Amino acid sequence: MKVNDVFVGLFFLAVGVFVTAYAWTLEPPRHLAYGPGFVPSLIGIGLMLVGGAIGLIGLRTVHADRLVSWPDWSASPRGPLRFLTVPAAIAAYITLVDGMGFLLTSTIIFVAMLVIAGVRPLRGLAVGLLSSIVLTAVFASVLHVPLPWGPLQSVSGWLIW
Amino acid sequence: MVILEDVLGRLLDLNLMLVIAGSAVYGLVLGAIPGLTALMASALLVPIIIFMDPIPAVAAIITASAMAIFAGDIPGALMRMPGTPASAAYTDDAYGLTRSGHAALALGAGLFASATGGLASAAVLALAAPLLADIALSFSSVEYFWLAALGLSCATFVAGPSLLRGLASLLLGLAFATVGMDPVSGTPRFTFGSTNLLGGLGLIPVLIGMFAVSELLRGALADPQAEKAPARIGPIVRGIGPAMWRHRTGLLRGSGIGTLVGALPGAGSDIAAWISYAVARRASRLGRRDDQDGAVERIMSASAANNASLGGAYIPATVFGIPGDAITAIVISVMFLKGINPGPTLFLNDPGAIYTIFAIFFIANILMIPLGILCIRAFGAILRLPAAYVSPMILMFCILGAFSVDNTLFAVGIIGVIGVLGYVMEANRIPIAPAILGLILGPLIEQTFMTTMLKSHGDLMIFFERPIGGTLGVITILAWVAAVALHLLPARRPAGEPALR
Repeated sequence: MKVNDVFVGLFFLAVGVFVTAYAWTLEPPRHLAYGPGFVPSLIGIGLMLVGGAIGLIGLRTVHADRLVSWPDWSASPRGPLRFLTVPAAIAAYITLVDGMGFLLTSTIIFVAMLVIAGVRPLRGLAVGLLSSIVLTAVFASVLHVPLPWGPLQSVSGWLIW
Repeated sequence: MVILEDVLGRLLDLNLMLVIAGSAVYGLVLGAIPGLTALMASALLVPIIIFMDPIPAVAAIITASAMAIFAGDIPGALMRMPGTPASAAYTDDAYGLTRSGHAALALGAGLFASATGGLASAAVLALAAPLLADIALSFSSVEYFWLAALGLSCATFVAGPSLLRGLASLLLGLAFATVGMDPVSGTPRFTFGSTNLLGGLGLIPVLIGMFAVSELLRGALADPQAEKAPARIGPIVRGIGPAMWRHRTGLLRGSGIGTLVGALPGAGSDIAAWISYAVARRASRLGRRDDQDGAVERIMSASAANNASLGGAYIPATVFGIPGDAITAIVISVMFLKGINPGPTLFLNDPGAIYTIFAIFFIANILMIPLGILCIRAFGAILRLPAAYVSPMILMFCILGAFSVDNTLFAVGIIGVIGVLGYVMEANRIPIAPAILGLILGPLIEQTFMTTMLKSHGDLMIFFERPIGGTLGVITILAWVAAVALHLLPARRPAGEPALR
């Protein structure tokens, strides 16, 4: 997603204003001349200046360029859906993994992404389940990463050794 | 002599050899998959190597990153899709050779130039690093401040055609670096009451988000069936000797540029490749040509540079404890975790360990040739693996890679948010490398600046009073003045284009 440079400049300007305003709320300790807000305020001022400059230069082309250009969705018919799948899969993982455990959550994410990419559901399920079992074995058993098991806690011994 | 025996004793360890062989194969496979970078390969190794002994842990990253940087050439040459950003500079030349039926020449040139560049930088590393360590022992917070500032400056200036956009990215990365506790007083900043943010945003989740997740988002829009790999590659080794001799100047120049650029804190292998490519294109008689010879000259120069930069990056990493690029930032983190404290004292306290690390560079770059040829041969099969199956696996690796650092779901959320941010930034021509380097070097800059100001009771002249520090300061300021002047010169820009973009 490409936006006009005016918006790019405004984004950095807004971040700069926020950083500077926050930095000014940080009181330096009594014995220090330069407190915790000093460097952030310099960064914030820099962001405001750079954002302002990008925005001002963008004003020259604001009438010639489109305000927002979306990606070429036609490159692949399933492209937009696959694009949204990535953040959705991350959000789903965060929401589900503690309750359902890694193995089930990972399988669901694999199957969803594979089916959206055009793989047949049964094949997707087989690939998803196998991949999740391998990942669980590698990360939980070999690397000792504390992956949650959810309702499958009772069978965790099968994959942890 | 005692050190040599110590090094040989450490190297002749079956466990170490197995780690080197395993990470070589791993690096080749990951580097050859478009979207997975050498940096990503290193980041994903962290949850595995965290359980290893110190030397095998560092060896795994050195080997995997060297292999991945080369392997990025393979999809670049065959599909016009650079496997890593470091291969992007010469992808068009390599792909052009492939289309004219010279895929073996394109890949052979990349492979042998990568190994040459890697070996050259390893030699420089082994010979020059101890000398630099002696100098580094006299460094104070002033010198470290200017060194970090110079690294950030170089990265910003060569990150892209627009100084303003590079600066915007750099400042954003520096702003991210201020999240968490202030390095001097310990005051929480930008944490909004969240304990997850007290330790900062976390380098590895941000790296995974910026590079891998944003790449997955870009890849989701492309049609995976659009480009097909050629059926047969042909003999790789035949004719490479004469070609290397013919392009020896380009190879040496690339190796030199790569080592130097890599040694600058903040400039990585992709920047080294771009600079070497630009020099070959403009300053070399062979490189200016638009025929096959010209393409090979440019490929060899840039490919030697991107692998040489890896060795170069270890000079500031081992000597000063300052990361030359994001990969060495991970290595430094691992070294600290494993009780090897990088910095000048390492050469005094544990010289055997540091020379073993240098020796691993030589082994990895020699191993690259046979394994690289096997990888090129096997890549025909990998290319036929549908993207539909690869993307979910990469995403799960990203999630697990981020989770493994602190075992928190917060880090998983960071890769999502930062991934979208990285995608939007690149779509709007904001380079992401300066942001990453701002995040890496920001804490060092702030800490050294604040420490120096405390020592001098607020007198800024202390930054110019010491000979080395003052010189570095003047160089940094001159670099900024030159960069702004070059961007303002009317001859450097096409008609109608603004001076500072």
